[in-house]
Amino acid sequence: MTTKRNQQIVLIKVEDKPGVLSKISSLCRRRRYNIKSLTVGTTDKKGLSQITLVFSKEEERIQNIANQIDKLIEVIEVEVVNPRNVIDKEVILLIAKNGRLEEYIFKKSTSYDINVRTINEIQGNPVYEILGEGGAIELFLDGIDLKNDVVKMVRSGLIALKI
Amino acid sequence: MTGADILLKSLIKEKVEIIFGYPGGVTIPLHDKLKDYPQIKHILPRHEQGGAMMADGYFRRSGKVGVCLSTSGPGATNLITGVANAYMDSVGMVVITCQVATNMVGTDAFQEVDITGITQHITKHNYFVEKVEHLPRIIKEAFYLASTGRPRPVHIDIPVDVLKAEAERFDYPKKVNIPGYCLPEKTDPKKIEQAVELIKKSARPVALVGHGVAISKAEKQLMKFVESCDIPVITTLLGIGSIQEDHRLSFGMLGMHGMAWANYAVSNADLLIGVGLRFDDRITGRIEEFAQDANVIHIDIDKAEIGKNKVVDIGLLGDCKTILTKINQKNPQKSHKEWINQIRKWEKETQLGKIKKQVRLKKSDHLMAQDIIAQIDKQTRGMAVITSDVGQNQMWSAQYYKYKKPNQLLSSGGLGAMGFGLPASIGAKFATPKSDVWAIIGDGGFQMNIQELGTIMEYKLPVKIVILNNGYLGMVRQWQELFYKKNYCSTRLINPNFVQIAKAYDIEAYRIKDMKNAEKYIKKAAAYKKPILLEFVIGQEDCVFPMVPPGNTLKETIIKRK
Repeated sequence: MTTKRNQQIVLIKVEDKPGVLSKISSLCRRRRYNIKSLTVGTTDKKGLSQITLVFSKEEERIQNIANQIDKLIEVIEVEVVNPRNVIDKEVILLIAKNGRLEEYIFKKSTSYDINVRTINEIQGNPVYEILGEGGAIELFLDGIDLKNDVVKMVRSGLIALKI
Repeated sequence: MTGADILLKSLIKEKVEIIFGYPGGVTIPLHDKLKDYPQIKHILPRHEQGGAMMADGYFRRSGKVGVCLSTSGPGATNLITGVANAYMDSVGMVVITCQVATNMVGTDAFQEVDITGITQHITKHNYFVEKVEHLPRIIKEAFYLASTGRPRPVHIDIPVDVLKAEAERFDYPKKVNIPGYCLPEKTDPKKIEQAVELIKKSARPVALVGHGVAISKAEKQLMKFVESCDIPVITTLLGIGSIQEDHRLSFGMLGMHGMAWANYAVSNADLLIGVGLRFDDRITGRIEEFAQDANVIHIDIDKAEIGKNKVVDIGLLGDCKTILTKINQKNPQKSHKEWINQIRKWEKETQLGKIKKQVRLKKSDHLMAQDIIAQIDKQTRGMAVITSDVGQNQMWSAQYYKYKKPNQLLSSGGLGAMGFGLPASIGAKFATPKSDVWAIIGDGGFQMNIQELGTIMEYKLPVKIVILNNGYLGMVRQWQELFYKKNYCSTRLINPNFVQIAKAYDIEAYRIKDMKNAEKYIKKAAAYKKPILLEFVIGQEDCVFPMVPPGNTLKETIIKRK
């Protein structure tokens, strides 16, 4: 499998209380760490949410910000994870111009191990749902001319499950 | 029974004896109930910032969590500098602000401000109380968080309708349940072992001591450790007094205005043992070149401090007292005669007494702050509690008084908040009424919280106020002199008559211009049982030396004026 990693992943287990997300994001701002993506959702445990926080590879001293986040009272656990120890996924919703990306998308979906579905068509432009591992999604996007071949695109941000 | 009763009953459960509080529209339901709880003394500062800084001084002297209280909006924002100061210096404090009614929150109501949003980064944790039933648990948690681990301020914001709400009963929880807050677990014995090995191997060790020793009351354990391993001790500003200054292993303070020999010792050490400090830039100088050749052992209760500024070889997570006890149990022993003699040689070459004379602009045509502080030291036999303000007065207070005990010098270390000295002295006096408290303040900082003279007057607090008046914001002026070609922009102070001001507050006051009178009045103040203010007119352009220019390394300590 081809996995390029321009990502450092921090998994945070938090109490599901108001204000937690704001505290974590503004702590990153205050310590001048730039968040690449952030997702929050509930877990199998009641009252416990997980935040998947992604920084780019260039961001230095990730353990330091993890230590600072750990000091927030609502935070139960923080871990800077090795990508090898997680299953991670990201979804892209993408409207392609005409059929321009048709060939690329379905060719790469096999080589990068990405799931692609055509879920709709808007004014002759296909809408794709593209699901894959964070690293694969990055590689996949590198090969697309976003300016010329894409009408609109949005990413979900990464979710990761520790194994 | 109302929410206000619940709050006050909870405070009594936490053994709170004193609150520094300022009333306002939304605190009235609370202040209205105070008369029913005579166990709690309510002190009225003249500004909320003063109240927060009094609570700070109270914690530092008593070891008990300080409590300050304000109304919503401006009352709450006025607290902020005091809270930030407590946060930076690891001071246990519970900050209570009252808030507009819950149904008005978020509407930009009169005197509404998002105070929990504002205190987020300067508190260990904060709470907005949604329901009166939550109050006892929140107060229990707040005191627990403020006083355990690394002590820091915790903020509780209480809407006025919660204070007024009727409550059926009062049940104070016996335990806390905070899943996201764990105190450091047992230290890995292997790491202690490794640390002891490193200590045994080192030829030029230095123990760097910060506020952590005073907070965890570890001075005896520190003493045992450094005496049996024969390790010189150098302290940060807030570490002063952790070792008696006349002890043979005490080598003073390091850093920007530290003793030159202390800076040399750290620069030449092969092992640094950091005990409860955070390697702040004011002590390290340029961090990349700070103690380059040394291995570093860092003892701290806050995991995020270990390796934050200085890369460490062994991090020992835990409270200083526990960790030092564990190291002492291994009974490491060593002698470092040669190394200590080397530092002593540096000490002789750069002796403070010598420096003191050399900073004089002319032979001595004016009073010098250094002499005044040395004189206070003499007249109080080194036993007074000193609260300093920020700037030159702070550094001189650190350099020229011979401290003997932890928390004998109270100073705004991390935040460097001017205006700290006077309110801190009030908090200190309430915490330990028997101790002799002296506030040493510059003419600038005095005017930042000058209104607290009213508090001193009202409660007849026999605090000794020393103003070192050089007619400048002295430390900034010093930087302008040294680094900005004497462009004294906005640092000249046109001052009022401080003696008359003090007298208006019914405080005895004297203006002193020469050493003979300085001795006379310091002696008088030392024996005086009422508040007294001494204004010393000192040289306008005296500088604090030694000095490491900002961004330089400790090796580049300037000892005297060119």
